[in-house]
Order: sequence, then C-alpha cells, then structure tokens
Amino acid sequence: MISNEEYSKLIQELGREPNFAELNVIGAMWSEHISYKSSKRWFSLFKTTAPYLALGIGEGAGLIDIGDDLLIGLGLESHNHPSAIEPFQGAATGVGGIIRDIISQGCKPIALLDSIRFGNLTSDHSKNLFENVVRGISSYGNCVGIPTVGGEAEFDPVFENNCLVNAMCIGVVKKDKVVRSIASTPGHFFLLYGARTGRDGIHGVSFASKDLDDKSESDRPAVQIGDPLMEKALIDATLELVEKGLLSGLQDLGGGGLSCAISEMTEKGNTGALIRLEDVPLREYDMKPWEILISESQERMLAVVSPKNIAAVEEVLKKYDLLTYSIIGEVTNNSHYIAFYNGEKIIDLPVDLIINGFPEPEREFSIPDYIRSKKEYTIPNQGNIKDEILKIFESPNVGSKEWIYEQYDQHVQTQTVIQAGADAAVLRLDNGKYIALTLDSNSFAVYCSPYTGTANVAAEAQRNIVAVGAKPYAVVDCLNFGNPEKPDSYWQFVESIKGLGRFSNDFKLPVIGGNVSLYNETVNKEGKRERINPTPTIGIIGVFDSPDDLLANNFVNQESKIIQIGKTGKELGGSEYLRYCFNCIMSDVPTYDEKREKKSIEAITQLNKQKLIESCHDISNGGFIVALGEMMFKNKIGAKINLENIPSDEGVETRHKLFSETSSRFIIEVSNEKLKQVVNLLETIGVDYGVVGHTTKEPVLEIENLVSIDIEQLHSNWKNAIVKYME
Amino acid sequence: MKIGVTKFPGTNNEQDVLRALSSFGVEGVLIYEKDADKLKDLNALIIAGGFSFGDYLRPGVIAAKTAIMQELPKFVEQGNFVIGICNGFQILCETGILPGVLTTNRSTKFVSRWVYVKINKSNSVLLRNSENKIWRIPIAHFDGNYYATNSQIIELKKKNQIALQYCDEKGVISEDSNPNGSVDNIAGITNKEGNVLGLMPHPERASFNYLGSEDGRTIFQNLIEELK
Repeated sequence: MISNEEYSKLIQELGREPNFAELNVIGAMWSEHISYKSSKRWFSLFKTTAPYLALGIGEGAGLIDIGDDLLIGLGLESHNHPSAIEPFQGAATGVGGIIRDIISQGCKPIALLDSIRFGNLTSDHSKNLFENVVRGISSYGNCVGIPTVGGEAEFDPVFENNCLVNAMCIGVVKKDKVVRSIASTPGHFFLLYGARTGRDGIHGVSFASKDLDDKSESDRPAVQIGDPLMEKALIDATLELVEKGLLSGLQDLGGGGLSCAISEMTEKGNTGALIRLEDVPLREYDMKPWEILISESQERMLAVVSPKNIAAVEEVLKKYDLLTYSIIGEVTNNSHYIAFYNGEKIIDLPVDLIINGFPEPEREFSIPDYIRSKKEYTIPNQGNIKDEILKIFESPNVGSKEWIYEQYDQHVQTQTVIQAGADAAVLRLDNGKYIALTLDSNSFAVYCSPYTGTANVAAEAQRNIVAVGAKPYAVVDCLNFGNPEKPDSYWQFVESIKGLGRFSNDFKLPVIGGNVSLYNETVNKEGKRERINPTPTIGIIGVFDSPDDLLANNFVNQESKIIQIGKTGKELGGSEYLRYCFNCIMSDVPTYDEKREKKSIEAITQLNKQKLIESCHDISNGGFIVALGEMMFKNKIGAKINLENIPSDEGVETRHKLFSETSSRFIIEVSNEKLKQVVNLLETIGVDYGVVGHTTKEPVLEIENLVSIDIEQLHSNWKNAIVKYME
Repeated sequence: MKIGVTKFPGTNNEQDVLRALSSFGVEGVLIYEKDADKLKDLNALIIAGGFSFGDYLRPGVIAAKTAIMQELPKFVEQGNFVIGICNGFQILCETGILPGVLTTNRSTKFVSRWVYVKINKSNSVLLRNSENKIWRIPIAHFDGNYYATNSQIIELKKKNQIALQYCDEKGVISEDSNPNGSVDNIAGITNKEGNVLGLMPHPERASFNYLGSEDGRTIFQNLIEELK
C-alpha cells in the first residue's frame, strides 16, 4: 500500500481525498513493480539506440529489425514472489504473462527461455519449489505450443526463501503488422477479450513490492491461476486480429489489471478513458467494482478498436468459443481515467497522475559490510586435484540441466536447430534466417562485485551468442535484487545497473526491454535477514549472417588441436570452484576488460568466417576444465592438455588455469591442417592464445604431469549432478 | 488429393504438419472440431499433436467426443488414411479406433527428447520400405505410456500392427531405451486394415535436415504417393 508521503501527494494533486477504489488503483500503479520508482531513474545509463532498433523499452516487447520486413520481439519478466508461495501456478503464470507481453506488439511467440534459482537441492523446501516451478513452466509452455529452448539454473542457500523465476519470450511480426500499446484516438472502443475476470491476483503487484515474510503464505490469493488452453485460444485469436490489421492498440492485462492497461495506454496516447465496469465479463458475480479494477486474472487482453472495425473484430472473436469479449468503454480526450459501475462513478483520476504522479522516493546507497571487509582468499593447494575436478562436475550449478529441459517441449513449431544445453539455442525462422538466443547470469560474481560482475555476466551472454556463430543484436534484462529501501541492497542494484550500462555502451548493444524485481528479501523464522545474491539476468539475441556460420559447441574430431583464446587471470573470486569446493565466494573477481573481450570475439568471428574452426565453446562457470569437459561429452572424444601453454597473467597457478572464470575466453578446436592459418590470423589480430593440447581417440581427459580421468567418470558426475537429488 | 489436418482448441502442431506436407508440394487443409461434414471431401486426415481441449480431464478424451471424431469410424471403414500423432494417437485410442490406452509416463514427468525407434514389418503402406530401419525422431509428451492387455498385444503382433518400437541407436529394444514405460516399448501401432497409424513420436519434427533428421518424411511421402 502507498506510503504517507505518497498519500499526501495524492491528496494535494487531486485536491480531495481519494475514495477506496481510487486508492486501490493508485496503490497498484505506484507500487514498485509497476512504477519502477526506485529503478527508472537509472535506465538512462543503458545504450538504447541501434540502427536496427524498431521499438525500445516501454511496452510489452522490444522490437528489432532483422531485414526482410521481419521484426523480432523480445521480453523478459520475473515471477519471483508468486513462485515462492505457489511454485506451480507462480511459474506457469510467469510464462503466460511474458507471452502476452510479446503478443501485445502483434508478435507470434516462437520461443521461451527460463532462468531459475533455488536453495540447495539438499533442502526439501527448495527441492519442492524447483520441482514444481519446472512443472509449472512445462505445463504452461508446452500446452500453448511454444518451445522452451534454453535458460539456466543456479542453486545456493541464499535463494532458499526467495527463489527466482525469470521467463523470456521471443516472437516475430511482419513490419507492417506491428501493434502498439497505445490508445491514441478518442472515440475508439476499449474491447476486453479472453478469460473472465475473477478475484485471483488481487493486490498481486503490491505483494511483489514488499519483502516476503512468515505471513506471506496468507498472500496466496494474490497469486494468479493460469489456464494455458485459454491462453492458446487468446494467442490464436490475437494473431488473427493482427494479421487482418483490425487493432489500433493492444496491451495485455498483467500486474495491476485494468487499472494498469488502461492508464498506460491512454498516457502514451495523451488521451483518457471512460469505462463501464458492469460490462466486464466476470467469473464471480458478486465482485466489487474496485476488485474488477485491480484483478490480475490471467489470459486477458485489452484492444483498442476503431468503430469501423468493431464488427470485424467481433466476427473473429466469435469463432473462438472459449473466449469472452466485451466493449467496456471508449477512449476520450479529457485525459482522465473515469470508470462507472451501473451509473455510479467509481473512479475519476488524471491519467498523468496515475502514471507519473508518484513522489520519486529518496533512495540511499552505501557499500555493504561484506564488500568493505573483503579479504583476499588464498587457495588451499594441498587438496587432491583429481578429487576437486570430479567434485566440480557434480555441482548442480555446473552439471547437466537435462532433468529440467527434458520436461519442456523444445521442438514444437519445427524451428529448433540447436536445443537447450548448448551455449545458445538456435532457431531457423520461416524466411530461412537463423537466430541465436541465450539467457544467463552468475549471481556469485555479481555478489562479489555488482558492477564488474554484471558487466561480465552480459559479456558471457554475448560470448554464448558468438560461440554458436551468431552476431549479437540486442539485450533484455531482468534485475532481481533486494529491498531498495535498504542502502546496502540499493547499492548492489545501482552498481549492477551501471555495469550493464557500461557493457551495453562498450559493445553498442541496445537494451530493448526487461523488468525489475526488488524486495527479494526475507526475514526468516529466526529473525535473521536473508537477501538473494544480486541477480541481473541477461538475455541476448544474435542473428546469423548465414546458416553456414553455425558452430558446434563440442569436439567433432579426434587428433584436432585445442586452443585457448584469451588469457587466464589470477581470479578465483566468485568462482564455482571456491564456492562449491571450499564454501567461499569472496576474493578477486574476474576483471571486465572490453578490449580483451573484443579481441577474443573478433578472433572467433574471423576464424569462423574463414571456416577455420571445427568447434567452439566459451569458458565460464567452472572455468577451463568444465568448458573442456563439456566439449568432450557428446562425442566421447578425449583431450590431452599441457597447462604450461595456457596463456596466463602473472602469478597464475595450476588451479587458476583450471578453475578461474576470467572473462573473454573461449576454447576452440582446430584441425591440424588449418593450424598454421589459424595461428597466423590470431597473431594478426593480436589476441592472447595458446595451443594447449589436442583431442584424442581415447576417451580420457589427460592433463600432463597432473591428472588423468576417464570421460565416463567425469560425464557421470556431470550428468547426475541434478538428477541424483530429484529421483 | 485432399489431406485434412485437425485443429481442436489447444492443438498446436497443425502448422508443423502443414509445413511438412507443404515440402512435398501438398497443401493440407485445416479441419476444425465442428467440420464433420468436410470429412467426405478428404482422402486422408492427420490428427495433429498438442493439447486438444487443454488435455483437461484426460488427454484426447474431449476431442474424441467432438462431431468430427464421431464421424471418423465411418471415414476409416471407407478405407481412408488416418494418422494420429502424439495427442492424435491419444485421441484415436480414446475413440476406440486403435486399441489400448496412453497413460502417464513412468517418470510422471513430461519428456521431450530425441529418441530412436525401430520400424517393424508392418501391415500398413504408410511404413512401406522401412522394415527394420531405425529412425531418429523427437518425442514430447506427458502421457505416452502405451498400455494394452496381453491378448490385445498378441492380436497386434499377429497382424503386424506394432509399427514402431523405442530402441537405442543400434536398434536394440530394451528397458533402457524405453522413455515412458510403454508395454513392449511400443511407440506406434496400426489398425488391422493398416489404414490408420497412431504414434507418439513426431514425424513432422524429423522432416527437415536442419532440424537434425529427415527420417519422419517417409510417412508423409508414403501417404502422398498412395493418394496419387
């Protein structure tokens, strides 16, 4: 609910006391979740322009132009709080919500990706959340016929009571069919279609804009319930309306329900709205007008339709038996949002006040204690290296995510060229163009250094795109953080957003959409404050110049040369190695160096264009050794490595070479015949590289003078990393 | 030649099937649940996969009660071809046109993965020239666990109606290569006459080289040739 300061401002602006319904509308609209009142002020740090950008931040989907009169829409959203209380429905409706964001711009949804975070799988509570979140995504995404082609998962006790569920959706729309979420012409009708309005999701956005606590269970009614069959009908009907060009505006009903959709569309169009709430089709007959205004019932869309098109629109909607539809009001020119219920005026609020009227809250930030008192960590060199390697492959954060993605239909729509499990998913569009998609984060590196960590997370997502042979085009982000009213949490947020801003400007990659989820904090039963690791989830889309550029992420030949591109630093901070093997995170984190990053990307891109690489994989979570292992598994091709040849910064020891997560590195496989050409090109580019070994017929990982491990053993640890907790 | 592809509310593979047909130069027509009268103009019907009526109640059960499905036995008796893919297979079992049922996967989870299936000696021309071939093909289902009584299975075997069985890369049929718990690793069956084929794997998802396999094309190709 709104603060005292906000209430005073509201009275001052209105010149009167708001009534109960108005207070509910303002409460929803001025919530953090909808107003972005703590975050919006920083968005100017992002790069937001590009020659191919068609629509930036601000509506359901950001749009980019990939040529051939085809636009791609991208959106990324969180559904953290609902999933923590009711994991199945929370996750399912998260997927439903992001799909409707995409269709709001007229896009046909073609793929989903999901990023999820939970406590350790040794905790029954986390296991239950994990199992049901995956089930929720699976149940909804599969049913609506959109393939889930990628994503990521992370497990750590900091997410025990605040799990994270972020969903990304991608769609395509012909350039001349794009629809905007705007109500710009007075006299046009507001037409609500889809599911009926019920009491689910009342106060959902307010619930998402506060910390979870032991009373959160009582907020269960704030969680929405999903109906994927209805969503499928909604998608089909919407695409038909779009194809026929019958809509002059469209927005989905998500957080804030009718309050949000109508005020946002009229604000953008400099118009107003006159709404008749008795014309809203209801699921429960005795709903109060204020409940109708803020219900977050799922599977609903609000269209703006000109009077001349209304009959044609009704003609289309009539065909879809499941959907209800109703004209609920008109666009006006008086810049007020006015709603009546059977002749009684329920609300009368200036649109500008609803959207922009909140007093921008003062937010303080200060460096958290854990950063201030950071100590360098000396790696314990006494351990058995073989045990350490075997151990890191069984970390659920490193190991195979097959248990998750096998529950998602990855092939429906018959466009999936590379499915989940590779660096990036690859889709072939109907026009023959290939695109690459990734969704990534690393909350540990961001925790150690929010600025550098975030820039590196984005850089890694970019490397994922490069490693399959595509060119990065645009970024979407979902910023999951703690309570912005706490200075140390807000500091993490501000640093992180600066890091993303830096990255997007360094690489001229526009941020075209996203979402902010704050208040991911809990006071646990013992009264102790629990806050998630700061987690900026970064989605990147890449486009292939040609399908011939497609690169494998696994070794394809025996007796090829193995080359590391980029230099390894003395940087184990935030690494999975320190966390999983030694239960420690803080130490020197990998630096962010855009020059090195650019060199490495240039190297991969040029080598690939000249057809000099057999396979390629980026080095990230778990370091060199994990990247190497992942390249060996698919075809059971072994590798013999000499660590002496790993390009390294000064002071780098064996464990840095194996486990450091230094940015800007790749492993590539090169055939013997092409080695000379490759080396020449790498010298010309001036990138750090080292020929570190070769692939072998024998299915063994051998590091000279150090260790030798059967692939089977390594693979089994990796493959069972999650399964062993779940079955 | 007129091939219909069903589109119930919740069907979501119909465009994929149309795309596969279209690659042979054949434009399929969408058939909706109320289109029973359109059956008579068709030479074949493909019941596409997805979640007809949301799989609410039980997969396929609501679709089986629609007007079009009520007319289907007659269409089959006339010797027309019917192919049910995934949800389509479930619907065919629900209507009783094919024997047995498809129940929840042994894992109690949805499973989406590439599998191998062995093509048996078949009574259906839809699988002509494929005996003993091993196909790589995707599955994606929650309820693909085929069950039939012993006597039904014996009947199926007798008439070469067990069309496809899950196997490994080398064609070995074992528990390890059974993704859902189906009796005898059964992935697809035909009716006695061989003009109806129901299968859980998705041939339309293995119909283009860029998707990783073209093995599924055989079924569409045989169908089209047969109708020529």
